[in-house]
Amino acid sequence: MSKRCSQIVILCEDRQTDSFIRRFLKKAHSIQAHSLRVLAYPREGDGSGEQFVRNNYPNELKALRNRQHRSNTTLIVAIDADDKKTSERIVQLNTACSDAGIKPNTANDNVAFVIPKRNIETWIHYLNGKKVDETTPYPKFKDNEASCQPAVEKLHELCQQKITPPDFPDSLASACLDYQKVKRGFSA
Amino acid sequence: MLKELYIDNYKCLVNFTFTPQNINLLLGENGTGKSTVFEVLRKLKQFITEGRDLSIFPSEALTRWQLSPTQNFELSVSIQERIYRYRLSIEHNKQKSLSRIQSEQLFVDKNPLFDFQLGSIRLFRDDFSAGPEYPFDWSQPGLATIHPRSDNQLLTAFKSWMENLLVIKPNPMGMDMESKSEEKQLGYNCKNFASWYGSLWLERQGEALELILKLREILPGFHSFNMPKAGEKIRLFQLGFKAEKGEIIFYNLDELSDGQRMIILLYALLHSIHQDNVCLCIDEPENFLALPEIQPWLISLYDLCQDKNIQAFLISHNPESINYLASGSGYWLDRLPNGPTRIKPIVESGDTGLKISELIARGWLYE
Repeated sequence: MSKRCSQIVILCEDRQTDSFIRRFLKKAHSIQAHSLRVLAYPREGDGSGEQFVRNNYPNELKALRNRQHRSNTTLIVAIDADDKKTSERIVQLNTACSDAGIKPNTANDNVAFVIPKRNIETWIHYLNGKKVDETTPYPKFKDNEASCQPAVEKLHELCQQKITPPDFPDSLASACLDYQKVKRGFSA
Repeated sequence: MLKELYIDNYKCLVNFTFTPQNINLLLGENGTGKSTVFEVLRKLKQFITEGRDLSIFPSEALTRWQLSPTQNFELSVSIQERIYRYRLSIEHNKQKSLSRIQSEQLFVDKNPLFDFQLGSIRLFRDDFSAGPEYPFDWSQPGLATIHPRSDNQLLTAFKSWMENLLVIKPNPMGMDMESKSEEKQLGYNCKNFASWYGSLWLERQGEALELILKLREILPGFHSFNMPKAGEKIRLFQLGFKAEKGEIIFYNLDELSDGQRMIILLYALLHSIHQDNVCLCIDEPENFLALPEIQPWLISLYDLCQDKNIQAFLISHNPESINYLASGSGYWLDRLPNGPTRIKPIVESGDTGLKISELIARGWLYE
């Protein structure tokens, strides 16, 4: 009846990342559920989250390009760096595209990469005021993904104040740059 | 086969034309008029075959933003290579709370068979020669009062087609567990399923037996139906399931799950069809069905439509149905708030890389 459509597609590997990104978009841009499409990610714990993102990324990029002329849509690709470099994950994603016969991401594509290193929990613990590094695996917030809300609030506060603390994780800084690139297109 | 449906000034349907095909899947967001299309078909059937009066078309159903007091309905139906066109025009006077039939007409291949205008009915014979003309109450359905005769077989063929039009929105939770009489027509919510099955069993045992064999394939352990007496004129509707040692244990219909009742109903429907030119309209048939049950039933329906010249209309929000049928058989209904419904066939534009259900879920189909 209305002309609602998903403006933002989130391709991520687990519920915690999904929760973190959605909460941030809601806080920063008042983006509601009807404007989002979250791809159903694999069951927690079977270790295939990263593969799921890689497998689905080429098709989502293709779908994004298909409608680029019609509407402003953003694809947010969230994948843990784990023990790799952020740039290595991007290379892997680009390779997945080439293997699928799809031109890898260019500056014209409205794609934001969210690649936490080591994983999303690293960022949440950091934003919650803990000292972190990007190699140690930090505890998950199992069955309590909503507990990332204070971290989301903190990140939003830093964004508003345009502050990058000296101990800001590199992977978070890199994601923030990508976010700056696409955020103009966000409308609630 | 329904070739064209035209509805004007009825709820959200304004100047609405639908040219369906053999199998049709109506898709669209909530409130876009899918069920209203079914509602009109059901009411036309009640009006033409059951002789229901104009109270089934209340003035409240006039399109809110339209000024015209007249509602128009038209059906084009193909029966044995002839094209029948039925037209009904109803005029409402809201101030006086009165409604009357402005005209009710039936044509075959553009020749008149029945003409009810300004309180007067004119009949035509099968050779299109003019038959009797007589005054008739403007508030009552006219065609419904015409009985079959040797010289009105064409008109009777149209009414038979209307009788074979089945519009349902099954609700397994509301099904009666007993049959008080055999009923040939399945009710809108299928409450009378037990009584309808009773009629099927009595009159067409071949089809009833085929249904039992089919259900044995589908429902684990299913063996047979049983309709024992539970009082004068009352029969329970029971289903027998084979136990481990081979004995049959019978369960009343209400002891089965909603999904099991729905499976039985959906397959019973398919197996009850014993003649060509039946039109089935089912609102959300997959409700209550487990995922593995949906596509096999759709395939059975699809094959039936192909093999027996059956026409089917489904309303669905289920990705299984959408992805199986939408490409080629899907129609997208859309409307703006307080605007009329528009319908268009679903045509896949290029390779989006996404399934149709996914395009719909994202609001990307015909945005």
